[in-house]
Amino acid sequence: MINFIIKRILISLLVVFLVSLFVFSIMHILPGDPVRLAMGFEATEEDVQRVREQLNLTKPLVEQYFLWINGLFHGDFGISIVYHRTVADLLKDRLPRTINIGIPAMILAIVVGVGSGIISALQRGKWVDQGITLIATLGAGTPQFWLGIVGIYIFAIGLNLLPMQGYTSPTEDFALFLKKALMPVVCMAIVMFASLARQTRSSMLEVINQDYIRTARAYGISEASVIFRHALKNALIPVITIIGIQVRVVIGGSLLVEQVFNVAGIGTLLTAAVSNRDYFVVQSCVLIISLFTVVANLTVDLLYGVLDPRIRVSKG
Amino acid sequence: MLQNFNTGRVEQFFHVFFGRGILVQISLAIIFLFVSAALLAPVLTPYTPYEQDLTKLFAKPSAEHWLGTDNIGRDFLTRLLYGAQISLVTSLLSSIWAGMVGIVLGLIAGYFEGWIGSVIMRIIDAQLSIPSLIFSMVLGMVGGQSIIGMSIAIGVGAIPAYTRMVYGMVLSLKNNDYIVAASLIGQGETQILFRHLLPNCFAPLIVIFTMSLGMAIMVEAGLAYLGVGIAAPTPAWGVMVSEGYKYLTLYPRLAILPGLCVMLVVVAFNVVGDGLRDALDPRLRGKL
Repeated sequence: MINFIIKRILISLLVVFLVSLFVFSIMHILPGDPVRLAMGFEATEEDVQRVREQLNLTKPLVEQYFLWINGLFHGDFGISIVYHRTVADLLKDRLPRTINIGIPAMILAIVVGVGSGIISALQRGKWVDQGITLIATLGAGTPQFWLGIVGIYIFAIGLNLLPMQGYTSPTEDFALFLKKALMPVVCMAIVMFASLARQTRSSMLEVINQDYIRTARAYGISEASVIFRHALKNALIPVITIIGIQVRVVIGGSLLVEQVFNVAGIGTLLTAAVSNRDYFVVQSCVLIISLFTVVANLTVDLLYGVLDPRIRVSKG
Repeated sequence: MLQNFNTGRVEQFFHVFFGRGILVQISLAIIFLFVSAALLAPVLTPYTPYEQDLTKLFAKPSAEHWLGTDNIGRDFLTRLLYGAQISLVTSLLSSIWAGMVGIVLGLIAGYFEGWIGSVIMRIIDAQLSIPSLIFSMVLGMVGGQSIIGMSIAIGVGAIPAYTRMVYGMVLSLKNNDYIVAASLIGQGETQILFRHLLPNCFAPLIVIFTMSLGMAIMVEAGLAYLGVGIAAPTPAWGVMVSEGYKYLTLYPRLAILPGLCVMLVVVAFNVVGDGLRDALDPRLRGKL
């Protein structure tokens, strides 16, 4: 088990290292000069050169890379050329917004997705099953930005029930936070919900047809106990993998959802940074996002090892 | 005899594929319409997607403009049709290119394993730790906001699905007797990889290809919507949603119709992909 954990952690570190190399190289092979772009053409060459030096952009590439990584370990994520603020400062503003939308979205997706997957499997072929399957099929292919816009058209413009856009911190005004966050949370959850519902349904169906379930029933164990104590435990193992994979889908979706609902989170920060060629913001944001998904996957992998002893043995 | 066996399989394929219900048929119809719209756009409409009629801004649907005009007087239906063309081109280009690269990487990693296999698979893992929308967005900064540049960026994002699948297949196939026999009679590695191992991956590859078409359309639309993909005035559906969003209150069709097109086409490709998976090889269920 220890071997398994160490191996997984080492692989995760390697993955993060490769991502840092990737995003660093991309930012440095881009055509054009981001400093000149940010300062405008009226700035003198000396000024531009001074800023380049301040940002270490005149140093050799290898040194720049190490300066960046070294900074990261000290909480220094670089400086935004566009906002003239440190990236750490920007993240402190932006990250809580993304998290306050993203975490409820994931919880919603897991609860509703797994729940409806179970119902679907137990009611196989009935109209409830068909309805859930149809919604999941549509949900998996719905562009989140479009769903958001349709939601705004119906609930904000048409029915006037919810505010159109924006974000309020839950500590400031919790009721308003709920109203504003409702639609973004649902839009962000939809894709994860769809894949969880489908996966839960199919793995549940696979499990309830197995011999040990029939045996449990033959013993006269109550149906609820058969489903929840015996079937669900095994059926959820592949579902946990999907949760790990879907974390990145939710983060990716935050770009679209934040743009539609004008939530100034890390997603809109990254999108704007890409359009403005804001070097350090792109570099650090991408690395942080990949760190999130790597940690999520690592947790899932380890959890998997705990839940399913076969994995430990074969991979350890 | 062999003839019978083959027709039997073909029949079974259609039986399973269409036996999945009406959704498969609707999806095939949507894909047919989508491809026809893309191919026949110049014939179907008398307008071009860039032609402005400044006397007719936000015109209502009429005989002249079936779906009306947009904020600068361009025929809206024309732009939707050409949008199909852009989606079709980007999704085909990116999926074909992703398939070629992904298959070769998977074959190499699975057949040789060792350090080269580890390097390839770790790079694939690293790529998978970045959401594909973000990955293609960052990569797209290099190629620029053209259709070709975006197709390449979106394609690179789709490589892992192919590589992982081929890698897994090759690992499980390469110790079979017929592969060992092929190498014993002196067949080269290239020949073993492409003539003996690759054909066995055919069924899952078709499925992944179909699904990656839908995925590519989704990513392309997302990036265009964010303003970091294919750029205006090109009539990409994502661009149209983002432009139309400004006029949502008064002219909702401008934002809602192009997004609906994205959804219908993506769902159709997913449903057909699911159907193909079950019909070609039921064992793939739950794996792809």
